[in-house]
Amino acid sequence: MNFGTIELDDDTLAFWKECRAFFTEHVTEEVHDEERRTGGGFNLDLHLAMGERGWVAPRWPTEHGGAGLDALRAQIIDLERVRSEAPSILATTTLLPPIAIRKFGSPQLQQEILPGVADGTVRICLGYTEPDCGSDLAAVRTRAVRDGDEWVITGQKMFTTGAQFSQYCFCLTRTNPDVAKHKGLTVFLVPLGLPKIEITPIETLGGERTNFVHFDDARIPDHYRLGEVDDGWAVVSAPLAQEHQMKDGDADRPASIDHYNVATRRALDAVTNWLASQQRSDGTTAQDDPGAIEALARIALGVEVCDVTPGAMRRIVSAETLVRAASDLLDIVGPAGSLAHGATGSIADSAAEYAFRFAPGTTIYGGSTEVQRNLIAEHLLGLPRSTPRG
Amino acid sequence: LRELDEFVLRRSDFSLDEEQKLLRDTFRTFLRDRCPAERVRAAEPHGWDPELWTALAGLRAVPMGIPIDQGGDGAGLVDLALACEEIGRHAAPAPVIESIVAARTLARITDPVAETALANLLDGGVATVALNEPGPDGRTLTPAGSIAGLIIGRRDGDLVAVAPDRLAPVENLAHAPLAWCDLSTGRTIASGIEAAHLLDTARREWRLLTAAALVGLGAAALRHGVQYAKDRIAFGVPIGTFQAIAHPLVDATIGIDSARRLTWKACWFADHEPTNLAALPEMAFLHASEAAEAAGLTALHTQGGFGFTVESDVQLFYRRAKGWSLHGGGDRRRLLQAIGETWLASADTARATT
Repeated sequence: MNFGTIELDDDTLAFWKECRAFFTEHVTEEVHDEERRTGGGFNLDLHLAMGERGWVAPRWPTEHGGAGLDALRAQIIDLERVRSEAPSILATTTLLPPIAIRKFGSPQLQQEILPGVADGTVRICLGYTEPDCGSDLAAVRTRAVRDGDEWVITGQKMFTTGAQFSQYCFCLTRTNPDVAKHKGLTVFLVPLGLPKIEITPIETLGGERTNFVHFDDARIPDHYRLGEVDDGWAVVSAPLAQEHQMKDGDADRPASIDHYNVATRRALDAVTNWLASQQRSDGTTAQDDPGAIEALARIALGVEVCDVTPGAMRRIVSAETLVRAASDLLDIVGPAGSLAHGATGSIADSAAEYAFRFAPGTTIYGGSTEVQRNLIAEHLLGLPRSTPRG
Repeated sequence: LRELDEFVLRRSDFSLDEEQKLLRDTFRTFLRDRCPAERVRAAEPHGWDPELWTALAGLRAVPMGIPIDQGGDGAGLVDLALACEEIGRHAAPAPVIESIVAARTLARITDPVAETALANLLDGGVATVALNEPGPDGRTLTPAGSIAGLIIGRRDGDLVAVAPDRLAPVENLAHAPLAWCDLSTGRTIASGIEAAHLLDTARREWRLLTAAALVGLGAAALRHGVQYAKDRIAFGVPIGTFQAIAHPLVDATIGIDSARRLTWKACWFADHEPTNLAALPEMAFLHASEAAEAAGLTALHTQGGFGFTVESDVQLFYRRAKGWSLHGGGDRRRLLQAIGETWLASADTARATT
């Protein structure tokens, strides 16, 4: 057991300072403004600048275009990226498909894709969810039918976040509708520039833009198939395991950063600092209000609890803590808390208003909290499976 | 985030070393054999099993936490928390936390009376600390008060010790050996700032070790609840198949697992970096109190009507989860005030330095 500080040698400290300078330079106020306006979650200049340094895939070896960094330095990049509030929705999704591409793709396909991923010129979005299927992923209906050396793809993907900035979609399709649902699936790395593929936007409550991707008899060379035909479940499982983060952090490193918990912490900080600046007519501050102190304490406790909660469980705790915290923080600041960022008289950076809109999505995407509870019930508590097998 | 600004990174390593695992396993095995539920029930309503206490002395439950040069084994709060979680897991009717905290308090005082009292505790005596506010008649409701040979507590600004004549036990929710204790005849063993500091430390350690015990209580209740969800058949399937049963059990598990880790972290900081402790003890205590109560309630509800009967072992843990928390000063609102004030103070400091 150890929660002590990690001794950083001069090189590591210099690296950390370099990271901070890098993100300070690239994540400007204009970048934040653009993000608030578009909700794209991506900035091309930043992404390419990271790619130039091998920081898109910092742990990949240099011969694969990465920076060949150890876990600690890669984590420092991650921490600084989060600290700078850089739009970076594709930073994680882009690195998931390469796990499957390495395992299942041909040498030519690997050569075609992976160097571009590392240098930032290739981005990959995840084509899992559809209008009629989310948590029950194996129920996808987007059809892929073989035609000689090509496949014809028809259907729709939904919540394909970052598709408008991506060159490829890591796409789960149905190739055999006549077998058990897990057994008739095939994965393609679909080049999004091909004809008969259309990307249309979906606006979300959190202000993030996501997408529909429509495939209208789009023709894909067999070259872009990953793994065997009808063996797609094995192909998506590799990166999915990583997305669900079932593993715990290792001992000599800081806990991995939890984005939802960071969002809670930011909103808490913004409101706390705003409260301190408020003087009432009777000379007291809101800090003297026991109700406000209690509410802040609840949130500070929630942040701390989330920090210590082990991996598989943390996803639930951090999302639900954020949901409660955002609402409670709005209560503390009062009606002006509901004002949008930049609106006349807006306060506390409108952080609670943003958190309130952002929060509900965190309980859904990347696997809903119910699915996560099912996994814990089955694998950790040993309870019988609740969802039917099919 | 604040430490990040200053280029500080911390480890987040919750692993136990071999000695710690051995310590935990030793207490667990011992209590599983010596303190089954029948034994807990047999010691009710007063929650006192002298034979178990004598046997626990063999594990050096109390001397363990005393410095080596004072006749103990020099264990820190993390190690003590591991032992106390097992006390909770088995609802042991033995005043381990009370005596550990009293002994550690005495060990910090250079006074012949304190030294004699400590020697007596290392020899198997029972002691406790009266940490609660006195009632209207000036007496203080004191955990282990009815069985303690020595009670220390606050009188005005002083820390005093009394050796009571067997105080009358008062029946209570947790079947704990509570008694009303009169400290007016006590002998002063510390005063002024020293006394205040000793009491603060005692309260903090009481809360930390009680948090560990609460985690044990909650975990034990949950084990019963989960087992029942696997065994009980309704509508043709084990009831754990239903998410309405399974998901609350998952939530209760998350509460207990996070409370355990928060308690360890708070204990670690109290042992190694007390100046960076912030409100971790209050947080750990509050979270463990709520998690243990929720675990007990969830387990009870999972067992349905059976869970509500005294035949079910779940009630043993559920009633103690609330009781032990209350006896340790688990007033939710006061704990939240303390946490909130610490939070605001740390935010003020951060603003002042930037």
